[in-house]
Amino acid sequence: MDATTKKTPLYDTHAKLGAKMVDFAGYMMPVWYPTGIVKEHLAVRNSVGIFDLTHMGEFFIKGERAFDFVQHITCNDVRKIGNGGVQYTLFPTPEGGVVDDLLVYQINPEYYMMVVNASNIDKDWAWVNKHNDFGVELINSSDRYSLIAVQGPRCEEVLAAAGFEDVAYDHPFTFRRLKRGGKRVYLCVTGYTGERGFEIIIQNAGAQPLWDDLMAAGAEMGLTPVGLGARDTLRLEAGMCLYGHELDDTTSVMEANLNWTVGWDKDFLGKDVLVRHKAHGTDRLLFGLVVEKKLGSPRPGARVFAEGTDVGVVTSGSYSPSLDKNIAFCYLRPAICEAGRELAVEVRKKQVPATAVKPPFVRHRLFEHKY
Amino acid sequence: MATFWFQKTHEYIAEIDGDYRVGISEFAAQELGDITFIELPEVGAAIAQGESFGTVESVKAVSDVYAPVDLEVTAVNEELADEPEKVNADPQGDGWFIKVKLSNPSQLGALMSKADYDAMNKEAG
Repeated sequence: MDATTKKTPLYDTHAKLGAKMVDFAGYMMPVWYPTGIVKEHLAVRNSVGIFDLTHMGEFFIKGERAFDFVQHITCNDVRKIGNGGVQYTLFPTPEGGVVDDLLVYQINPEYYMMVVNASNIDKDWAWVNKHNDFGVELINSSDRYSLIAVQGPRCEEVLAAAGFEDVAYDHPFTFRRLKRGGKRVYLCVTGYTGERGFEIIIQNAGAQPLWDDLMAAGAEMGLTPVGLGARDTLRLEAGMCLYGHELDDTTSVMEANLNWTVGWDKDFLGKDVLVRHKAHGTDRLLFGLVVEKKLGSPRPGARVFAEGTDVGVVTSGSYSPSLDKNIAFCYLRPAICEAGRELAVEVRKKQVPATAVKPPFVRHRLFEHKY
Repeated sequence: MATFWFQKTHEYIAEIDGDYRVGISEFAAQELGDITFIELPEVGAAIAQGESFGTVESVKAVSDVYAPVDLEVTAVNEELADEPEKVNADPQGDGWFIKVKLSNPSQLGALMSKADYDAMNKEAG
């Protein structure tokens, strides 16, 4: 850990729980607890888990032209959501790459929040400032806010027991602003697991009491602390992109199969390239692979082959606790992207059989209420 | 009664009733997290000290395992193919990787005792 590595307000809590801590994007974060990645993962799928995601960045955008600014700098159309709505979107570049993927929260058309990847906070901050031709006020609150996520089919029970009101009425991709212990809270019905879940953004001073309240309230439901290791296996099963793997400065939104995030009826930075990609197609598309458990897991950089020809490369790969198989995201030639197609992939320098699948690998269950 | 020797890369060799077994230490199993896959050599393979004789894959990492001494493989732990989690549960017992014949037993003297190995991990900790 170097001197600039940051600790979240929950650092001591993780240490007490016996977490293995790693430096992730400049923050000391729990990668797993003594429970282990597989059990943490399955707790989220079958019951409920709690995550410290304080490393994520929070920007605020204020001003008369905040709506115009958000419309200009992101590819999704913020007109699709209203006040209290959340939208998955990206910062495309005019060269056809992606600066980051993020969530946009509309407080009102003159006031937005953005939650960005920890590893990209500095780059994103420079990007939004560079493209602020709208006279909006930009505020980087990343160091002032903590983020605690509660994910899994029993999430509403935990929040209700911890004193959050009316959570049974909350809808995926919405948020509410409220106060808890005098601290500003954004209660967001969002996540990165494919399960029902909440992400609670709270001023740093409120993080420890909130964690403690949730842990006490969730004891009965088996609320399990979950580290970044299982966060990654959960998002991979759910077929969600991770910046630095599926997305980077050279991947286009269309290649990443994120055409559903493109607002074709508006203008935005980097639209021209995406229009061309839509009209003429791309040389590669994001797709999935499944490999039998005993053959081992494909890892990033592994080549993919169809009848002996190199047709692509793995971007993320892991053992999937839900499927008890190995799964991987890969960029493939578009002609190869056909579910069920038999391919081969490198695993530890040998080629092993793999089956092409269209992600997600595990069905999303955001709308299956249990509460 | 078992005697354990360790090397820096966290493999052990244990002598149990005249048999020698090789595996990874409790410390290594804990550091790797949930182990999902293990690749082991064929019976009869001769492996020189310091050479890789297999790989251990956890959810997050892939690691090679290295022979602590010159050895010949006399048995592999077949159960690990179906139950790699045995390595997490009992790395220095049921989670052994291979049984071996030593080609050069004097090499054991250069390995670490349990006390020295524990001290090394504590220092690095």
